[in-house]
Amino acid sequence: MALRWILLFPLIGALLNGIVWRPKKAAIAGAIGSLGAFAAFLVSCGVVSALSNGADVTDAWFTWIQAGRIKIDFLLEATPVTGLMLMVVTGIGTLIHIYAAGYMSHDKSPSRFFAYLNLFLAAMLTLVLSGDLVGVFMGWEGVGLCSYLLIGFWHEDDANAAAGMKAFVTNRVGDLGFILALLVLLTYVGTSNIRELLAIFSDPTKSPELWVSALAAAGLFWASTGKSAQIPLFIWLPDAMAGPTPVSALIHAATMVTSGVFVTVRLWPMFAANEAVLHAMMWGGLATAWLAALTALTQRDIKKVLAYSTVSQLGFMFVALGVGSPTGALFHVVTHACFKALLFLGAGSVIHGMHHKQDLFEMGGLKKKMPVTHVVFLVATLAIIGFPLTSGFFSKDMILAKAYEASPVAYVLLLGAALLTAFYMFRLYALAFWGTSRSDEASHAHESPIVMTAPLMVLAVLSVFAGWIETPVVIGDIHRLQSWVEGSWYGHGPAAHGEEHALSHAMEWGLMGLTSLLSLSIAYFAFSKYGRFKGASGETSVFKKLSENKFYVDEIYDTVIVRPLSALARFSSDWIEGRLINGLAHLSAGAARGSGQVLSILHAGNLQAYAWYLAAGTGVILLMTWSLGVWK
Amino acid sequence: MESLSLYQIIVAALTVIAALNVLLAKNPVVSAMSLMATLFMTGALYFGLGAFFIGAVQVLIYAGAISVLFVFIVMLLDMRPSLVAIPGRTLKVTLMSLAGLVFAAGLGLVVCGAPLQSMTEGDPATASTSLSIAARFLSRYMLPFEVTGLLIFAAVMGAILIGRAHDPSLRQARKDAK
Amino acid sequence: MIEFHLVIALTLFVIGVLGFLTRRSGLTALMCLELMLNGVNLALVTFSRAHGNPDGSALVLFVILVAAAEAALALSILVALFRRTGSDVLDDFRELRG
Repeated sequence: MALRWILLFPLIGALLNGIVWRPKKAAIAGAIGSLGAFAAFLVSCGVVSALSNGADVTDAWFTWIQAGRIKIDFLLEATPVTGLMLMVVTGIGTLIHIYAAGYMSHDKSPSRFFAYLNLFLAAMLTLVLSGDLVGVFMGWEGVGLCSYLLIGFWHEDDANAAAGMKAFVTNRVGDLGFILALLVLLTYVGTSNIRELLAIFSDPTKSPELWVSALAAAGLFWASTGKSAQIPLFIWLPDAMAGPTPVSALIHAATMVTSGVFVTVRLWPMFAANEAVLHAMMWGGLATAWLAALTALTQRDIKKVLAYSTVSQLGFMFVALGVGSPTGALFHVVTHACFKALLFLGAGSVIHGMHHKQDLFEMGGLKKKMPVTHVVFLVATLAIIGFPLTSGFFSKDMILAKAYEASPVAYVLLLGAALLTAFYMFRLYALAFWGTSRSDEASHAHESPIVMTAPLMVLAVLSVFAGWIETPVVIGDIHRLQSWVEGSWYGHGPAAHGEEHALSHAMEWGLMGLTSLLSLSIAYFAFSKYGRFKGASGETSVFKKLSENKFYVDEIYDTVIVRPLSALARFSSDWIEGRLINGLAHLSAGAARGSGQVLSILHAGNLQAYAWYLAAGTGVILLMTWSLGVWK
Repeated sequence: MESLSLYQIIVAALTVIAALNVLLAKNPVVSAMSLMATLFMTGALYFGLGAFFIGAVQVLIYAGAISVLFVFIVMLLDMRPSLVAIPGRTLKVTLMSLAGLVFAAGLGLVVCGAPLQSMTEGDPATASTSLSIAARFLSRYMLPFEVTGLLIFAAVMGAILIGRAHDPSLRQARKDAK
Repeated sequence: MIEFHLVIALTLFVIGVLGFLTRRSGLTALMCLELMLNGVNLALVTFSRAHGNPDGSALVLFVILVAAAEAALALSILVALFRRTGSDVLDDFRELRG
């Protein structure tokens, strides 16, 4: 089946929900949306099976732009990496659509919601499937747009609309990098087709000067800091929690935020040659992982903790890319999608049961009131901290091992971030589900309907077992992921076993053991600290204040960037526009008026004056021509 | 080249004097009468040049009708010589005369410097006889001739319209129409 | 003789110009206008005589005719203006100013 149907099914769903039918009942809208996603999922399964048979799956849909020597096709291609992403996006997407049908059952415009959600899916799939960078960019912008639409879904509240704006504007700043990369590639390499690009960059005789790929890679990395919430453009993600929880789960946990990682993996040969960009990725990822984790330690809103956790985990993925392991990054993308979506959906279930209260300090004792949610949430928490043999364990340890190979310092820092993760996640878990109910809503909470809990259970299973596609040498030595993604770069990628690490078995056991031991200890410590939480203690410290206020990043940006720009804008409008340009305009107007007034004196209205002009003028002309000898 | 006859010189002198009088007279009636004299003398000048028909027309129409019209209007407007000295008038006259003199200088230089020797003098007997002019009128200048008729007709109508604005019977008719 | 008459015509014309520019009353200015026309007519007749060509005289006839029409209209306008404003001084008619 042609690849285009993966895009078309969600688009049709969006059209039905958004324009053509616009059903009023959430059940119908949700059904249409879920069917759109599920149909795409089925086609994706077909694609993956075709890929596993070694087929070359492409769909050259149409020639899009043809201007001079620039030819850009709207081309859909499925490489193994693409196939994996397709499964994640459509599979988890379908589950979230079904969940949302229950979550949004009392909303007043469900058709709009599901239309946006399907539109997002179509855009994300365009990003994933496109074989040309311009098509990827179209999907990139599309997911940005849908993110804005969905974050500000309840736009009657100004704060939600502002959060949507923040996300869009910040993403736009990042998109500048993407556009730069596109321009550089189109001008100096001559093509934006990914297959051709990778071929050119891998061929030493044909590849352009180093600065071209460096600039393109840097530009794409900048764009990734926007889309994938790294320092310095991560600021929109915590605010994005203003949107409905299914949105947070789908967009800001599983799919959109991994776009940056995906694009980097897709174009890996171009990145692999640029040491500087890779270093930036690693250190940036480490810094982001730490900053976000430190902020998550003191947050009271359940969704905010998860948001910062997402930023932190994305940092992990970029560290993996920075140390040269696209497989590791991709692995973590997949496992993170499973357990983070589960965490968000579980939080949504909690919020639903708490009648839309989100403050952790007002929860407590929910394990008795919401048993199913409790169990799945625990599974997800164990996965994220890397409890042995869960999916998170395998992906995180792969990244840690690769980090150790590259730089022990990086390893130590990353380990620290992982330990912080253990702490804040168990703090979250304990505050929400253990102890006594600290508010009325908590004591009257009830479990969510099956339409919401069923997807949770599916995701829980995945969170446990998805890790078995890639295990270390010492535990099973399964490398199905690695061998799967090998062929994703048209023969130009890392050599078949290029990612085989040089660690000895003992080292591997040692690292794994250290990580697990430390994580579990910290988790238990957090659990005991917060398991019998009675209420916030009044004491505060400098660190606590910094962490609660997210290290004042937004305030710093406001002072350093926003205010000078506003002042500049005001200066421009008042002085340059108001005085200078208006002055010039008035000057020329005044000149015209003045000269008109001067000249109008000639219009005396007096007959003899006009006769005077005639006589004098004719006389002068006659004298002049006579002196020139015309009349001889 | 025929030489100037005494008759032509005297008539010319009288013409110029009368013209100057038109220019310089304070009393508008004197101005009007001087105009009549100038026009009459110009007619005499035409006779001296052998253009008898034109001379007759000049005396009949110009001196006999147009200047009389001027006298009528002077009487109608009851113009008196103004004896009040108007401030700033001298400056105005000076400036105006300046332009006039510049014009005169230019025109004079051009006219007097023009080569006239190439012309041969025509025969006064046949130059501007009524026969030759009539022949022209009925052949080459037929159209302008007819159009001039229309022109005079239009002028008469226009003069009547402009002139009768305050006719009382017309005013009554206008009031009834409102 | 030709030059003489041309000079006379020139003189008439210049006097007319000077008068038209200088005289205060509209009526006397119109009289000077007639002087100008006469100067032109004299020049035309002179040339007609000089070339032996009646075209000049024919043209003079036309000028006289048009001058008659023009004098009639100009005078009636002047009279109308006089009736309206009570003044025949040209400087007073400045409504078309600016």
